[in-house]
Amino acid sequence: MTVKAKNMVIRFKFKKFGPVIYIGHLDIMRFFQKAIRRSGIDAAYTEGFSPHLKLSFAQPLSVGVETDGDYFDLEMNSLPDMENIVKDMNAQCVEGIEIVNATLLDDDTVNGMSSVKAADYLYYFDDLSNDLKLIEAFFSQETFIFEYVRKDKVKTKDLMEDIYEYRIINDKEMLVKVNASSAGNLKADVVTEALEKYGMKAKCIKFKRHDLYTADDEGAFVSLRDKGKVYD
Amino acid sequence: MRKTALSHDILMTVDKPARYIGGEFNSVNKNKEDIDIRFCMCFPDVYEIGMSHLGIQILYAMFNSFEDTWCERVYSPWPDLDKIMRDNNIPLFALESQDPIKDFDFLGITLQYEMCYTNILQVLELSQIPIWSKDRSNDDPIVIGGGPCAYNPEPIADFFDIFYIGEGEVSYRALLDLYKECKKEGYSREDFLFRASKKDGIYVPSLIEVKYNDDFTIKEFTAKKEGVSVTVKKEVETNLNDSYYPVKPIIPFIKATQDRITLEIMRGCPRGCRFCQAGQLYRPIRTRDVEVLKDFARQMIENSGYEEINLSSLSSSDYPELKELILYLIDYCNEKKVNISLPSLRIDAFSLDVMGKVQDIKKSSLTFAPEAGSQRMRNVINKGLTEEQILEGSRLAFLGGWNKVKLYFMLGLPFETDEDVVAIAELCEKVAKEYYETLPKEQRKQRVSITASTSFFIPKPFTPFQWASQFSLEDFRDKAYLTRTSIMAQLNQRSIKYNWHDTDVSVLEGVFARGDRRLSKVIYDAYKNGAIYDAWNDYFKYDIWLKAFDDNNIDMKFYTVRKRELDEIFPWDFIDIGVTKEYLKREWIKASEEKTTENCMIKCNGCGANKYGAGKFCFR
Repeated sequence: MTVKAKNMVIRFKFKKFGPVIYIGHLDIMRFFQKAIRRSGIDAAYTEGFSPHLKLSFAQPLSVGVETDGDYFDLEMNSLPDMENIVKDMNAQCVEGIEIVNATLLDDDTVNGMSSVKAADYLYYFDDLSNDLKLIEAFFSQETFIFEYVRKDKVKTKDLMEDIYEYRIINDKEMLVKVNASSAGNLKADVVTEALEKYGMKAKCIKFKRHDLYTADDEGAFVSLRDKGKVYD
Repeated sequence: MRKTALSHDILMTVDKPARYIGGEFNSVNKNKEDIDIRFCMCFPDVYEIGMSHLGIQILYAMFNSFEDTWCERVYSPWPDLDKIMRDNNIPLFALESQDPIKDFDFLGITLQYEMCYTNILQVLELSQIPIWSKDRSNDDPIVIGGGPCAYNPEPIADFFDIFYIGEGEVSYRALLDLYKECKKEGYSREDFLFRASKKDGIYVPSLIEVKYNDDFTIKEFTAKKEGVSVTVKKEVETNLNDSYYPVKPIIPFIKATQDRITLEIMRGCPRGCRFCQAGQLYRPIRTRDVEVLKDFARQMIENSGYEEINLSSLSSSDYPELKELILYLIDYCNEKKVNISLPSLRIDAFSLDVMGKVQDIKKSSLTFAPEAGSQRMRNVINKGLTEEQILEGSRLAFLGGWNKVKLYFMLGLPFETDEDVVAIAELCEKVAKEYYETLPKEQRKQRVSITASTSFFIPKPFTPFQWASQFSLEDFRDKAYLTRTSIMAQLNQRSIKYNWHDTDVSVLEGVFARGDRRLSKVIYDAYKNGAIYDAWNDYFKYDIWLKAFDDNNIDMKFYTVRKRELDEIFPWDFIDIGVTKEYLKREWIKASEEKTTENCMIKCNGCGANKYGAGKFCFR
């Protein structure tokens, strides 16, 4: 779905860390609805007896998971002071929920939810130094059929189809880009589960979402943030 | 950064972990080093219920406006976490600091309904504070009870150090100052409690002894120490215009039961329904000025982001500037995209017009609370709502497009006969008939839908019906059955739906409502045997309670069905709420004579509450 109004959608990138990671996705949506209403910006509403904000979130995040890069799109009636919008919104947020930047979306931008193609996750380990070869071998495979259980259901996937890139940052951190499209979203913890099954000895302490991506016409990944003019 | 008292693993295991993390918008954090008094407010039920309560938000705002005090909150952990905390010996903690409550100076527990009593013991035990006040030492917090059930605190008297009788806005500052003074002088719990007991509104149960007659009715109240008064006077906020109001309410992350702004427009009620405890407790009637309310509404809408505002009072139709307030709110809320949730109003052209503006007529329903089916019975209970008013209101509403009507009744009222019960069904039938007579066939889009709900009447302290015998469980069931069969016998029975409440809980509620100190042990035993969350149907275990009463040789009927003499001393008689026992007695006798008493905004009936000198209506 493309946006009709001209330059009237703001995409907010937010972080979530600390105790608030235990707040579920629906409640985070409710939190931002109220924060937007408090901020007094001129957001667009639906018609009818109980008007709602025209708000859409790019990708739900599991309870208990931190994020540095999640997004929601908000349709506006008129544009706020974009230079101060991040500051103004943060005045309505709480510790652990933080707006990072706001993007005034280009006119033809598809909304976040349907355009998400990939996600970066940042994994923290106790020590990766002894597993570097094994990790390289794991990610170099053409296929890796993996069977795992989520919500009492057995799932089978070729993980190599859904893992796009990986990068060892240092002895303790690794970044992995995975499929996050509505058709083939790969949950972040499946990657570490598979690595452990493959023989990795390092222990994953925690992971967090780092960023979300869409794809351009050539299929290259572009951060959701970069689909318009960015205000920090 | 804020911490959590519970580990990641525990938070990932329990249902709705957001109940336990604090950090909500408008919640208050202070630096521990900068304050003298740590106060924890508790609503002994689950977070979503407790966060819906206006009283705590008022006191939270008030306490935190004091520079020397940090007020935090705690609610009952849900049974899943309860078990984990017991298994791992984790002390119950306050939401804001996540610090153990046992390290606080005060634990204030609001007593909103009788069926939360076992949850009080849960909170105390999980906090690792001795359950019995006599076992507490100087290091334990002072445990204070307040709220409507504090007007008969006796069944739970042995678990509390203090009960605050009346409206919290008035005396807490003085109590905290006394506490600081005692701390400075070398603190002793006994000394603080003794000195506190001399203040109005402060009841220290350990300083008053109750003596019983051979039949376990009360003989007298005596002071255990010289200088302790055996009368405790209710505290009343005399001016609602500059009392504390939570214009920056705490906004829960998870959806609370009341997910909206509450605007309290007045306290007290002029109607004098004889079954209603709140109607007597909150006298004298006091209103907030309409300009103050407009300002509060604006501030709260801006500070909260809520999508709905609700007007709160016992009888909103009696608020003098209601029309002005509602018309203002309709305009302002429309602009701010906020819904108005209307209180139950007297149905007339104005209220229907307003309802049509703020609700979807197709979905909303019309509500009446006749409370009794027959006019005779409505006279007994002094419910000034007539059949003509109900039918005329319904007729106007049907013409306006409504086709759903809800009717609320009570069963088991004093002097109730089978005819009065059958009259409930007949009144429903008359409303249905009104629909068919009002609207010609072609204008009826749907069948009329009438929902009748009954609850069982429970006599409460400080009401004219405090002398009444409560009906037995068997009687309650018979009455509900008679209501159901009478409704089914009506011509339009297919348009009438009937709901009724559970009976077991009503009996127990009746026991605690008019209970005495002998019940503390019963509550303790029931709790130790697994009674908890009694207000929740899924958790209420009547057999545990039956056993606890049996084990203590206490007959529930003593508190419920027993006939009380006019001169009996009641367990709550040492509390002075302003309204006199003489007045209540007069009303009880008038009820037996089926005589009504006028709205006290029209005519003063001499209840006694005007001695507070508050509220302009008491002096008309």
